[in-house]
Amino acid sequence: MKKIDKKRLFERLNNLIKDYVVYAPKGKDFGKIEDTSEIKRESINVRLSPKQVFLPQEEALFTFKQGDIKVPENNEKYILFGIRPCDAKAIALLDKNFDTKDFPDPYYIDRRKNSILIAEACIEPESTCFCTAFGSGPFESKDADALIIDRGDYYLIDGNEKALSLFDGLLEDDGGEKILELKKKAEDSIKSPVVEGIDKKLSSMIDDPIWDEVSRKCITCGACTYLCPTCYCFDIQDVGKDDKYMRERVWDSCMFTVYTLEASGHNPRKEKEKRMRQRVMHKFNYYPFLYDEYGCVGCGRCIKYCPVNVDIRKIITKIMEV
Amino acid sequence: MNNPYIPMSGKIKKAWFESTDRSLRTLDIVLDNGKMDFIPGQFCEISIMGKGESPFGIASAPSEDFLRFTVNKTGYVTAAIHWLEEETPVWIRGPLGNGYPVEKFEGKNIVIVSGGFAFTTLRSLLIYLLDHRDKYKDITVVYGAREPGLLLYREELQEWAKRDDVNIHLAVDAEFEGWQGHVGFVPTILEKVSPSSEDAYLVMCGPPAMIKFTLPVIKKLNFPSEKVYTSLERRMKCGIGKCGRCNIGPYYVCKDGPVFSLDVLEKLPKEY
Ligand SMILES: Cc1cc2nc3c(=O)[nH]c(=O)nc-3n(C[C@H](O)[C@H](O)[C@H](O)COP(=O)(O)OP(=O)(O)OC[C@H]3O[C@@H](n4cnc5c(N)ncnc54)[C@H](O)[C@@H]3O)c2cc1C
Ligand code: SF4
Ligand code: SF4
Ligand code: FES
Repeated sequence: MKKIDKKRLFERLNNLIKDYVVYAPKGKDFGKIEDTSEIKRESINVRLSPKQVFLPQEEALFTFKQGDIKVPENNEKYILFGIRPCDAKAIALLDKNFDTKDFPDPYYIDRRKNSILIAEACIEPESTCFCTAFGSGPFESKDADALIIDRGDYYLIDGNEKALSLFDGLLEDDGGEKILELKKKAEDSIKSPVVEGIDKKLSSMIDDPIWDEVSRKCITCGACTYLCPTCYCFDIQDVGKDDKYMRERVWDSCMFTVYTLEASGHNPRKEKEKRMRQRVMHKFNYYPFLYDEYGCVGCGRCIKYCPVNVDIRKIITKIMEV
Repeated sequence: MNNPYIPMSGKIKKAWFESTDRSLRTLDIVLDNGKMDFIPGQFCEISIMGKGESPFGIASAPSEDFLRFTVNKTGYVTAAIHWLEEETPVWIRGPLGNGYPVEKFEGKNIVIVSGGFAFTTLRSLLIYLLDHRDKYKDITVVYGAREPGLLLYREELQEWAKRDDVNIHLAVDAEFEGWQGHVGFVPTILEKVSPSSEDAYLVMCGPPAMIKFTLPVIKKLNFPSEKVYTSLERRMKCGIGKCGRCNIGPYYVCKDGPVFSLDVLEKLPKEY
């Protein structure tokens, strides 16, 4: 591990904004910054997750004018500074959907391959955090290019060459500083539900009455899925007029009725319990089936921002008790 | 990197109303950059720029020089497609999906069961089987519609009915002036024709009501679930397993389907 003076790091980051699009926590949400003075956290993890960098809320797939298709070019390079370890893991999970052998998604991949992820360890996790349920943790470094640990005037930093080279000349010896205790304290403060075996268990719970019970108070607003760093469902729409059109992709949500509504009026997930089942099944049964990993990283956003206090941890516990 | 969201350009070579009630329109399309390689049962997304994209099963066979689609007018995009005239440009993505397992079918008897306008990809399959006639044993088709004018590809059906290497059974729901085929619903006619399940595969596409009442007949005829195939429809957008909406359990209808065998479907949530 190395150590880096905070002031000098921010100076360097300010210089890098010339060559990179830099995203960081900006108070309430994660967003693009023009100056490091904007970096601020209202809470340990911010509301809008970094998935917006790779899968923007809306983006043009192409424009269409007088019979010609134009694909927007993107040669930007990105630095994602101060994302949380759970969000870094969420990006690794998004990769599995978009960076596939059969149909690689060029829009996602172009941005992703030009990005550097700098995660920041969570010294004091929030009450809604439960990343440790999924084999990750507040000091997990494996899904980011670098991990920084806040030590007051300086950060401890460890990472790959790609990330560390951004800070050439600024890295000092860490003087043998130990972080084990800090890490253990953070981990121990997290109360995670037990999830072992939930994927197998869910396979036989398709018709269980539990779905009605756990979805009863849900108002199907979709906030949980928009804010979830691993949810990626999108819609494709044409916008424009006269002879100039744009085909856009925009975030969508499996919690909405129209999501699966067919032209005939038939809707395989008309009832909200089927939609809640879809959301839970996708994360805890389908994802493990396809990729051998859970599709939830325990970031807690869906818990914090649900207007009616639906708590995915309680749903997990209920499933485990069936 | 190939961009899977970008459609290819083509032209409508022929367009006509397929059914007497003008609810179905057939388009024969030729792509600007040459022929498309595909397997019967696959589908394409047709774009109307500014309106959107919709998925349609390919009704032409790989051996034909054009791509054929028969489109039922139900909403926004399909209404726009109905307006298209001959020689207008169109945009297409495909082929998408898995298609019928035509290689697995080799050396077997094949039974095709269909109702209404779901016959589209089965036309493709039937012509494919006839193109490779020596690779397949008996071919039986049971196809019905409410009335004669709602059967797709009527002239071709008559031509196939004359052949002695395929058994075509056409049906309409009720007596109709001049109709000489079967009268009755598809499940009833299938039971009457009673094709043997010995060494056979059965492929079925039709409206939900037909499927529901045909399934018990198929069981009665002793077709095991793994030898019965059907093609599913779900609302789709990307068509390539990315946008998330068409899943049934862990499978995506657009990418892992639309063709599934019954034994696979029996294990999945009934989300279709
Ligand atoms: C694999 C497959 C093959 C199909 N083959 C045919 C065919 O050969 N002939 C035919 O007439 N129809 C076919 N359909 C159904 C056809 O795609 C829908 O009727 C059509 O998308 C309706 O679009 P719309 O804009 O007119 O309706 P709207 O109700 O205005 O729908 C708006 C949008 O919703 C989506 N959508 C709505 N219903 C469906 C649906 N059932 N399936 C998929 N997407 C839907 C589409 O993106 C559509 O553009 C097929 C569907 C699938 C999935
Ligand atoms: S945020 Fe809460 S109320 Fe809104 S869809 Fe999700 S679970 Fe339902
Ligand atoms: S399901 Fe909830 S806790 Fe899990 S990753 Fe998504 S927003 Fe975070
Ligand atoms: S249509 Fe997008 S996943 Fe199937």
